[in-house]
Amino acid sequence: MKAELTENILNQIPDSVRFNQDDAAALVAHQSFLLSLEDELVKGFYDHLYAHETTRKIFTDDEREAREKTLRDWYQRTLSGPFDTHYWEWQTLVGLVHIKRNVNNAMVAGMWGWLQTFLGQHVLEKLPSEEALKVIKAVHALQAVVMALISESYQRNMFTAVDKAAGLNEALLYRLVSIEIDEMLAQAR
Amino acid sequence: MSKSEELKKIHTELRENVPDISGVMIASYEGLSIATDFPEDEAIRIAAVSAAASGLGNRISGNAALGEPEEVMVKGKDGLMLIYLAGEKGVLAVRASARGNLGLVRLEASEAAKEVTRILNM
Repeated sequence: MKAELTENILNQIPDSVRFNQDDAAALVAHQSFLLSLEDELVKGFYDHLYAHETTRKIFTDDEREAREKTLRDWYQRTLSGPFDTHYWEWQTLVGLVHIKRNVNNAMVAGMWGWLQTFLGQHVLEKLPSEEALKVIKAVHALQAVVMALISESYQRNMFTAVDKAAGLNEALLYRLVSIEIDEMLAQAR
Repeated sequence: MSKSEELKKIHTELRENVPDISGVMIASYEGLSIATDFPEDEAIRIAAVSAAASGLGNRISGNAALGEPEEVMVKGKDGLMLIYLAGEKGVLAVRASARGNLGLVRLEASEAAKEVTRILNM
């Protein structure tokens, strides 16, 4: 199920823009520099989440350490490669976890933006510009794929859960949604 | 006779045999109207919500240990809708008068649902 869903989502993204071997090589080539940013990245990431009222509500008071470890594990694994089926399926699973934790896609997109800016600033400061641009491009491509997997798995797992709970199959849900969207568009025009 | 003609025949017979029925909808499991006499603008929604009601009824039946689901009924002040699963591929929904002969409506509609199941499974 997870493998099938992951493959299906990846197939929606044109090959030509998908995270590729050059992107993977750029990250792995600068692994040690990028890992040196880990502490600052993890702290900054959760400082923002804990400082904002809406995202702070996601967490219990005593779980920051555990959440930081999750991000560290992801960061280290990402910089080590390989970007194989197992890695992408793991990102798909995150979408499922996010439903359970009430982490919505707006929160994820916002934090990806921060992460890209953080890494972009540091690599531009410390790496030769040609190498920095390769890393920035890799992070952008990675963000696009991971965001696609998380957000799509979020939606499709939500649909699956509704089907299991209420007997509304995916095609029927799309049908119900489509009918209402037609009406909303007609009113908006 | 084509499937479409057979379904149309079931629908016509139901209306002729049971005067208390004021609307018939045969819809797919995905909520698409297959044969109906509901006005077109109502039919789109009725097909979708009938399929939704049958799916939900199926889950309620399973969770409450009611056995294989047979019928979902929605009763309003002015009428009622009876929704039947037509196998795994379709749904039969009928609208009837609230003060009509409910026994006859249910008898004829459940028999018609069996026929719809047979035709959709062909």
